[in-house]
Amino acid sequence: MTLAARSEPVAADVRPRAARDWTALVVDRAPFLVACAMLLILLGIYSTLQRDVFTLEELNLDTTASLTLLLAATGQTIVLVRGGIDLSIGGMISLGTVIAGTQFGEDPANAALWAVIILAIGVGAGVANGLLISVLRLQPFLVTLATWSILGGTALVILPSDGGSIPSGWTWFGNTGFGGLSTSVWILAALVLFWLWFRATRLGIAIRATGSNERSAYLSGVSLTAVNCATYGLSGLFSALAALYLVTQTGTGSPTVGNGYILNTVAAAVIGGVSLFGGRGGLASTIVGAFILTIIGNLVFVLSISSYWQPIASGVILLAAVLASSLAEKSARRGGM
Amino acid sequence: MMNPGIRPGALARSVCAAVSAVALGAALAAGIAAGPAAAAEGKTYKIYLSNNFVGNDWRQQMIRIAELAAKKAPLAGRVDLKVENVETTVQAQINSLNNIIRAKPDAILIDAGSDTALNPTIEKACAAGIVVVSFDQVVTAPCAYALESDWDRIPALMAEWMAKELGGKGKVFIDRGLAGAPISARLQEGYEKVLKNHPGIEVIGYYNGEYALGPEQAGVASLLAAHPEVDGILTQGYGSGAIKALQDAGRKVVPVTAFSYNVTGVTCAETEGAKCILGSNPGYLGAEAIKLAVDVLDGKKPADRHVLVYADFLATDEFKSELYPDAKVQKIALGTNAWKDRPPGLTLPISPDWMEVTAEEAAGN
Repeated sequence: MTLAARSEPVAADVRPRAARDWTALVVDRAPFLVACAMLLILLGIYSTLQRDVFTLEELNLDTTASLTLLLAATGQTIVLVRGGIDLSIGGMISLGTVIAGTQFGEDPANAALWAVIILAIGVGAGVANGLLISVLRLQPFLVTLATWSILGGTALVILPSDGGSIPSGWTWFGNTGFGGLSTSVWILAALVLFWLWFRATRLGIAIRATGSNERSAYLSGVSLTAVNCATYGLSGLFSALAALYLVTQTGTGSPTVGNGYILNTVAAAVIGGVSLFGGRGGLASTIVGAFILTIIGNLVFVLSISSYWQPIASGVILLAAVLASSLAEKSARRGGM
Repeated sequence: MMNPGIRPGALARSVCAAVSAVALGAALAAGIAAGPAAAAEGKTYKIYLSNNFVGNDWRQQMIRIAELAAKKAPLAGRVDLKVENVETTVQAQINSLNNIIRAKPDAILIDAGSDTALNPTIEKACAAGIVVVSFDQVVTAPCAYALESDWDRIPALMAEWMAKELGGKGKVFIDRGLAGAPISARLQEGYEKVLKNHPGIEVIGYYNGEYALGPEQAGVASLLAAHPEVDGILTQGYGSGAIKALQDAGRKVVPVTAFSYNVTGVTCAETEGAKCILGSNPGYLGAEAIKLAVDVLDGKKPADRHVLVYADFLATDEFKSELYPDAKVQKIALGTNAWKDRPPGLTLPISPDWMEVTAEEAAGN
């Protein structure tokens, strides 16, 4: 697909990777830096209450606890950087687990085939989102609200309540490890490598440019339809991946399991410093955000307080993140950027 | 909601679990649960209770009675209980269970959000030598005990009672519960299986009571408009909504089967001519789970991983079941087993036969 007829001017809108002005760089990264500081503080507190926090074992546990969210949030991050939002993530995760639970069977070849089909459905549903948003010029929020409902409903039609089974080889893969690191850590490493490559591709740059300033990206020759299809297609792909990983943890199809991830993907991204208005943030932000949410959960546990404090603490952290982000933007404007 | 421990289907699942001050207080109180009566005999076991939902009366009563059981005779001093209430998502309960497993308790009690999705995590707990007891919403993992009410006995005995009340002849409505919920289909089939043995009884209408008063009353009211000649109503919910619908329609009150809420017990006792039987998924199920865990840890293992709890029925009159001769049916007596001044959502009976619970303790006020 042709993303940019003339590719050169797009680069002008990309955030200041090459900015010589240090303060501008710090201001731009302020929300992310604040998030990193929060994560370190939380880890510091946690390490006084729990033994062996700075160990591989802890890394394995926390990554396993965070990875489904992280995979789905990777897609959400791409959409947020584009300046959109994807609610259909919830429906796609549910549908993915349900198809896996009902179709995988015990034959590994069959399971692999259906895994590919699930990924294809994810991409297809995402591209459909992108087309509806571009061609009919509908709000991403409303389009993906509708597709969430359609995908989630389909999941309920296929499997009205939790059930089905996942082959033991599949769950084994998700729960084993290599070289002292759990599968989840290796997948996270692959995700980071993907991101380092992806963000520098023409597509990655075009998505960020479009999220930063849609009009100037368009005037620079970026096809908005192509960008939207790619953005939401990737989000669908990552939701499907999240579903395939989730079933290694649950060993079952669950027609409503995805709904819990929709707003948490947004929360993880925003806490880490991804802007809801597009153009700013990346996977590093989202990883930090997701780990903050997981460590809050661990802290609430070791403090022996009701787990209902977890969403309260997450909400306070989210507010702090949004505040940091808004202060950074204000000071950037005052600085005459 | 009838059988309120069970959150049937997606509808209930989507209900955002409100943060309840009562539950917060109760969970905090868990920290000081180990009572002064130190264990003279047996060891004190560290037990976690993982509960995925606190948004209804039943779960709150369940948590209250579980905490009470850890403090009162006969288990006082035997249990160091910690309650972990988590958000309704499967991931939240998995993450919480993983934290619990790290704390190396002797046993974990689980009221689960899914009968299958926790299995890999539960197997991890079993492999770590932890006794796992799932209760109320039980799980399929073979290494975990599954403690629940006898869902075959409850509808069968109540249908038997209805047939006897009607003298084997009459027209009835049946509540289908909540569309898509497995427990609803099970209760409906349980009713119909017994009624089939009484050819004189005809089912003339179905409605979806959805375990709430409003839909029950509306469902019965609209059926009454079409079939004014009804002789009995088999509900899966409160039953008091069905009685209200009969009264509003100016009809005489017919025999009703329902689940044992305080409001139902009070309504049945106070309404002129009302005949009721109430089945129970008791609020002391969490306490039963603690007792089972302690028994297993003491070396007294049950023969099967499935353990059924048989709570007493309540009825407006004495009733002796022929299908289940062992079943106990308490006669409703205001101030003894149902209370006008207690919350309507309180599940009866409040005490298991091995522990005394007062109405005040059960209601938490």
